[in-house]
Amino acid sequence: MDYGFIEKYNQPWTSGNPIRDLNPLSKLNLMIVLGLSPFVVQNYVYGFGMALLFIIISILAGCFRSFFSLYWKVLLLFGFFLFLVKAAFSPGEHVIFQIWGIRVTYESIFSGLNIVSLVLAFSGAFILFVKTTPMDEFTYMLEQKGVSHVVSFIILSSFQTITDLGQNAKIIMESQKARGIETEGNVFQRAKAYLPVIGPLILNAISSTEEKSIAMDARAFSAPVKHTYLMELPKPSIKEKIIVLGLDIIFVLLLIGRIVLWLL
Amino acid sequence: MAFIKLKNITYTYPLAKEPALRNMSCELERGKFYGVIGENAGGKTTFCNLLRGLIPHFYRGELEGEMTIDGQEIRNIDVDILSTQIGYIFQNPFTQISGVKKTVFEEIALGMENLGVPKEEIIQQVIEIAELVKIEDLLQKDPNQLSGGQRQKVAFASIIAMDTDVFVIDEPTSQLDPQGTESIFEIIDKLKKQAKTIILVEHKIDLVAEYADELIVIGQGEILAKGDVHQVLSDFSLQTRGVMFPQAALLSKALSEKGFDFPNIPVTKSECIQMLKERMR
Ligand SMILES: Nc1ncnc2c1ncn2[C@@H]1O[C@H](COP(=O)(O)OP(=O)(O)O)[C@@H](O)[C@H]1O
Ligand SMILES: [Mg+2]
Repeated sequence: MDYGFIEKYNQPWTSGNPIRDLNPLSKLNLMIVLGLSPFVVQNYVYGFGMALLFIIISILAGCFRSFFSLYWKVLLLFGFFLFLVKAAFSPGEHVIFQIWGIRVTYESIFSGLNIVSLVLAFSGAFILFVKTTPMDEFTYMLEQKGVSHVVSFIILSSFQTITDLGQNAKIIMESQKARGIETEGNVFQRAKAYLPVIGPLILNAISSTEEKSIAMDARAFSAPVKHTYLMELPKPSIKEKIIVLGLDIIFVLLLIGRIVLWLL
Repeated sequence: MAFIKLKNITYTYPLAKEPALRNMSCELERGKFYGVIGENAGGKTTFCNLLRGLIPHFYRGELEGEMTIDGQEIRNIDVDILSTQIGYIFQNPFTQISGVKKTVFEEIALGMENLGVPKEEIIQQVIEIAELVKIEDLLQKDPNQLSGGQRQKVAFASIIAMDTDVFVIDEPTSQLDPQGTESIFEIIDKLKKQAKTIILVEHKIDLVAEYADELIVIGQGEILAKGDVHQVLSDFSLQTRGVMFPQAALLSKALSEKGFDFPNIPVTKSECIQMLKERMR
């Protein structure tokens, strides 16, 4: 038996990709600053630019597929519908066209673009963070900063529960299909197949959290001793710290500028 | 002094109409290997939950009677400390996988991380245990993607790795083939030789009879019998209470009905062969 892989535990964990290997807390910081900056800049070109930037970063980080498979759903579901609603119903002066109480104006279109760019930028930042940051590495860093073990367990098991929910839903839908219930087709047909299974799914998730807390207890999760960490992450480089700090400063300056403009 | 002491323990799960344990009294000693047997739904798992303090600390319900572990009243015991003293292998291995670790290696290491075992020792211990349980080839796999039998072995390894003084083990071989079962029993036997206290629920009576010091028979929430393996298994009236008997004991019973008398009831294959040899002389 070749135990070469245990070498991993004797040194800091890296993946070789400079973006993924950023410290989880740097990534969290960048997500917040980049994701929220469009709210401060308030320009949809900037917001869409950010969304595009996140797509490019996902390619560089080598996780475009997993990133985009989720992101396009957000794009479509929130982005597109939100835009339609905003464009159709926001007030405005310069009417482009008007039909059955729907009034599309230049102003409403811009307001639609604005809101969509905000949603896309922030959700893009969030999804990118989740896809480039293994949750155990994130909670490890939190614990290093003094956050309690219990909090990290809650974060980890919530993510696990979401994954389980998805998997259970898939299993149930397959069995629904096997029983001859239409699971594809139009929205109503799908809803008819989905709705009856939501209750059991959620109950299942709740009871599994109880089981999990017993399982963790069996692993001496709350043992009153100092825990050991098999994991070790590289220290953030000076360059990484400077970049993060620089972006933080720019963000704060933008924020101050926005507040000043707003007060004047 | 007895290590675990139960006096008139009755326990009812929340919302249940009937108690799952009724008026149980018994004493368990350190360093002994207890085999727990009995019919399905008799209360064996509930008994384990009680020994590990999950009753009354996780499962609320209604607990009557007195119980102490190491002299401490169960209701006042600190479960966080108890978790470092008594290892518990669940009946259902699916609920024992933590779900928060990405490889089996890290899953087995989790308990030791929580106990603060030094890193080098953890790595050493994980490899040792994996070889013992014969799951070396699973170490790099995702624990959430294992088959039932594989999970059962990983769950077993994860708890054994914590090296507590006491192990409560609930049906550890339910999903395993005969070879897998044999190797689990070999490990339990090793633990016994290290003077660990073992409470094992197991249906495979031939194996239990071979390895255990004492048997505890549980049925309908009561302790029906408790004592030395030979003594308990010479009471064939337990057959009507859903207790399985070892092949050796059944054979000797059948023979004695035909007029062959045995000085005492053999419970293992080797005892049986020995007695037959003596008889044939
Ligand atoms: N979590 C629970 N809540 C309510 N009743 C339970 C629970 N677990 C077990 N029981 C009931 O307690 C009794 C004993 O079950 P159990 O201890 O699992 O038996 P065994 O392990 O011997 O098969 C059964 O009647 C069972 O239905
Ligand atoms: Mg049971």
